[in-house]
Amino acid sequence: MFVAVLLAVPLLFLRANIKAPSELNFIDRLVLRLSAPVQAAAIGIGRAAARLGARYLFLVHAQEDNERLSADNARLRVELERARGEAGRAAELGRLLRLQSELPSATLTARVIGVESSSLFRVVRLRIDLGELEVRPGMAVVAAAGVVGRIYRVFGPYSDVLLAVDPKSSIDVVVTRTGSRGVLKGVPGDDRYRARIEYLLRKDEVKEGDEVVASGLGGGFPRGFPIGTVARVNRRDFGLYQEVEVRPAVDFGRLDAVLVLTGGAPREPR
Amino acid sequence: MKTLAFLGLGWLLAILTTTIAALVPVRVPVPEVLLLVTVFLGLRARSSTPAVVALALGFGYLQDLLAGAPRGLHALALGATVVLARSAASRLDVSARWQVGVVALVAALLHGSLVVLLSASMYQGAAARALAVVPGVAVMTALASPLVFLALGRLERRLYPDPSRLRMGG
Repeated sequence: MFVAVLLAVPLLFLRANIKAPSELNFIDRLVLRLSAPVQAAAIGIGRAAARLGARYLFLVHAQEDNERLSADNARLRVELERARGEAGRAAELGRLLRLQSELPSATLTARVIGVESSSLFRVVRLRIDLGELEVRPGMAVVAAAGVVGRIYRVFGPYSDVLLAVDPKSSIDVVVTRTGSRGVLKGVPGDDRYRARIEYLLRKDEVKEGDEVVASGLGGGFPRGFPIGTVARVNRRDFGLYQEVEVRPAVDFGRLDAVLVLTGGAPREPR
Repeated sequence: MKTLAFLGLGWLLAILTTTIAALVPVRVPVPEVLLLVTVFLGLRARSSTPAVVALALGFGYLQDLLAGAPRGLHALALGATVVLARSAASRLDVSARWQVGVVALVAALLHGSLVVLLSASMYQGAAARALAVVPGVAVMTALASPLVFLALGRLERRLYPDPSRLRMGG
């Protein structure tokens, strides 16, 4: 009997929360505030360990071939790769800075400190190091390559970003070549980052490779900002709309930094 | 205190799972480690049933919060799993590694299907695609299960020493 009562608690919570899972109470905020630094530290340690591991494996492999020359070669290669990585990150930050000066809205730069994901509940989110003092839910988040998503929930000095490929995300978009409008939504239940355009009229001649951009409607994202390209079109023989799958312009798995569009006039970068 | 220790472990495991997801550049099925802890508690823990159900609900709450899922989704699924595991504990022999693997596989399939079913209204008609993820996650969970059960068995022996194995002093 007591067990049944215990099980009824999450059922009631689920019924209450299923419509608005982003709302957080005091305990939720506390747990998330405690978790975020641990998560950021774990990711930092993991990345450092991966770098060290790769370097060690490379050197061991080199010694098997030729002791000194191969080791030197390997070390130089590692240095080169590291330099390339740094250059890549610097280039990405440079692109973000250029983008920051071009955007019509005030922006804040944020560091990606983690992802939230559940294999089964297919939400895909990023956690960034901007919080209650700087951002609020609904603000647009972009990278140099294109749209990332929107601020979903804020807790203390951190916030979560709902990615454009999340099933709960919806962004008003335009197919550049045809001018057709629709709503971009994430596709759940897959192991790739994908999205589809809903409410795109069947008569619109959309093709694979067409560029998809933000329409500027619905607030947040600047008009014409890149979102992705059409990857697949399924024009059925019936119904008003066609099915269009979109490959996002942003590689969500490799984001280190993003820009949050805070609205208002542009100001000096943080 | 012991319950808190398990809850702390669950919190760390939940964070570890999200860390793995962040470090792997492509999305791959990640084992449901918290599910394995829950199944272990249901099958082998010497605590009372309400205590293990409460722990499972705690794990579920943490998973909901860290996954951004509606509160109650994973909690209910893990709660149901632990009750099922508890009721099957006396009938199942889960001593060999392959037996652990099979039980973990079945539990992960049931748990995954339940999560997708409970959240179907949020998938807007695409729940069937979400179900396609479940077998991959279940296989990864089954593969990880012997190691997780071994570690949890050791932890449990430390936290809950078997009175029959304690030697009398003097």
